[in-house]
Amino acid sequence: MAGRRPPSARDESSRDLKVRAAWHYYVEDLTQEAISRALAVSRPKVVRLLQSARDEGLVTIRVGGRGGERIALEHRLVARFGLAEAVVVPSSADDSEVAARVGEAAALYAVERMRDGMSLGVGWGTTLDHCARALAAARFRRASVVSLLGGMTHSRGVNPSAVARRMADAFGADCYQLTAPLVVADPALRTALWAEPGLSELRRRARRVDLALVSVGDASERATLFGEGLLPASALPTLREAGVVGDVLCHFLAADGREVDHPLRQRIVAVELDDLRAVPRVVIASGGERKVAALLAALKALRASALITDESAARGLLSR
Amino acid sequence: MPSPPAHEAFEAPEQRVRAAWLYYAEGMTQAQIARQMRLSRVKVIHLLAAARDAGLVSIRVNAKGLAQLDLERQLVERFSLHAAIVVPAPSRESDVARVVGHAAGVFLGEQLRDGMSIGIGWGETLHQGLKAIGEREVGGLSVVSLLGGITHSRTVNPATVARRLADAFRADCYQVTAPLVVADPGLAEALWNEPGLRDLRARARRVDLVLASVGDLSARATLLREGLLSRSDAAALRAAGAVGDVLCHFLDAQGHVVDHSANRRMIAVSLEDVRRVPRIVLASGGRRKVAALLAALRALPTQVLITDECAARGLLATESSGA
Repeated sequence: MAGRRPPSARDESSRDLKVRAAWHYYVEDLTQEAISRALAVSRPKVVRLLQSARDEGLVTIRVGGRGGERIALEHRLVARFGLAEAVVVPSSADDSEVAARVGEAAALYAVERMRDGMSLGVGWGTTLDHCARALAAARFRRASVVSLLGGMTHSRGVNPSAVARRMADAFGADCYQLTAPLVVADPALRTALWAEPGLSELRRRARRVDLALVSVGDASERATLFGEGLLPASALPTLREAGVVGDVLCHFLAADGREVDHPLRQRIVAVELDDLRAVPRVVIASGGERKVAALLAALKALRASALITDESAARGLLSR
Repeated sequence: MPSPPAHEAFEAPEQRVRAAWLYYAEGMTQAQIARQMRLSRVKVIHLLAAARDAGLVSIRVNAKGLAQLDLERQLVERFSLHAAIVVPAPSRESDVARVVGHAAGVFLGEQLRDGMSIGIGWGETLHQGLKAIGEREVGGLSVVSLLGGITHSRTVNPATVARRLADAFRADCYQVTAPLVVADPGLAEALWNEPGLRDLRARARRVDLVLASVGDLSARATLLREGLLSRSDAAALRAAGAVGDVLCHFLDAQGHVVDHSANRRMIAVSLEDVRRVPRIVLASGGRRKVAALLAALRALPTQVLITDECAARGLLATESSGA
């Protein structure tokens, strides 16, 4: 049997140094500066030794059980999808619980980022409804909230206009509503509505928001869009056939993030994805395993700066 | 000094985990973490220390350098050990207890099995070791403290070491409900005749594993720092040939318990009892403990020695010169 090349003295001494640096740094809690003196090597060399000790598994560090795992997921999401930030909350088998946890995390995120004079664009859905309800009242001057979708004349629970209204109330902000039905029967009416001065003005305003907070829906009966009866569940098979995996602001997306041209597309009154792409910070908040494909499509469709999701969706996204 | 931002006032456990993760797993500097978490540097340092103390950070150095391996092999051979663990000498002598304790905690964590019974000593090394024991599900564990307690202690207390170890694994904890030091040797004898303490002693004899450290007789020994042993007693013990102690039994260089009244005033499970335990693990390091370690190795049929390079070299040098 051909043996492995015996380690050279150089390999061994560098391994020795890595082990020593790891003990000094991780167990003894010495600063890198102190280690560079103790081992008589430069400070950058200490940094490299510690880095390779970690990379080569010479030292393993586990932090705080599940809390640590979520933080690790956040970092992997940031790296994989080119985000500025990711927030991962604990999962639950219960869909509405996931929406509540992600929504609450989104509320915390929004409150921390909101500033005087800022303009916030919001989508809708169960998650953002939870977000709006969880927002702590915090006053901002000259702030505004813009609803990115049309409204519903009647709704049981979730209504885009209500989500925007609640957030505006919580922030003491001006509220701009897209005063049109979310779904119209006649595509021509949609064109006519956008031509209205009030609505075209709103769309311009939407394009200029500082931060847009949206969620995604999957292409299933459990999605709010179909669950609330806004669109007939009978449309689902044709949507899926056309390659739809989910939606952002009621724009249907294929797995690659492309907007699918389906007849329904012409009947939805919502700010366009192109408009959203002009927004400097887009935050996507959605969780649950069933939304993984939709989330992935949304991440491809938009240059999101932040993702707020749960553990199971995070794992799903990272395993793709 | 300006007051810290409002969000620094409350400290979520999540914050500690996050800071620790960024520092230990991501390798970020404290300054980078402070920027990312929008906290002051001081707050980050505080969070990191709290995370370590709360046992949120589990660190394992999985590799050994050649020098360590060589010393371990020599120690096993020379002292007929089952295993030796030698950690790199810390850069500061004051950190010896921390690094050796870390290795002892990791070792103990790996040894624990369902239904096991552990006898434990005390001291700074074991105190530090508690932080390194990994979280694991172990059922039916029991922990027996091998020494009496201290009514008031600043830092390390034998009772606390056993108690905290038991807490970490929801184990039953058995304590020597007596003072560690009594003024009257007759009282020590009378206490051991108490049914409760007799039971405890019987239980201590039946533990599966004993983890103990050794002390020297210098001013820096925990016994002296805590004021449990007077300087004059320490001097008298040294004059009687004592070089250190294991479980508060003062030993001469040959590992014999010295004949001095201090040895009759300490309430601790006897070395005869400990010798019956199938696995005896000693954990101590640092140059100043070499003589005490050597005495303890002669006094107890030790299976595993956990120490640092300095003490390992000292032990090997002393023994080969026939001291």
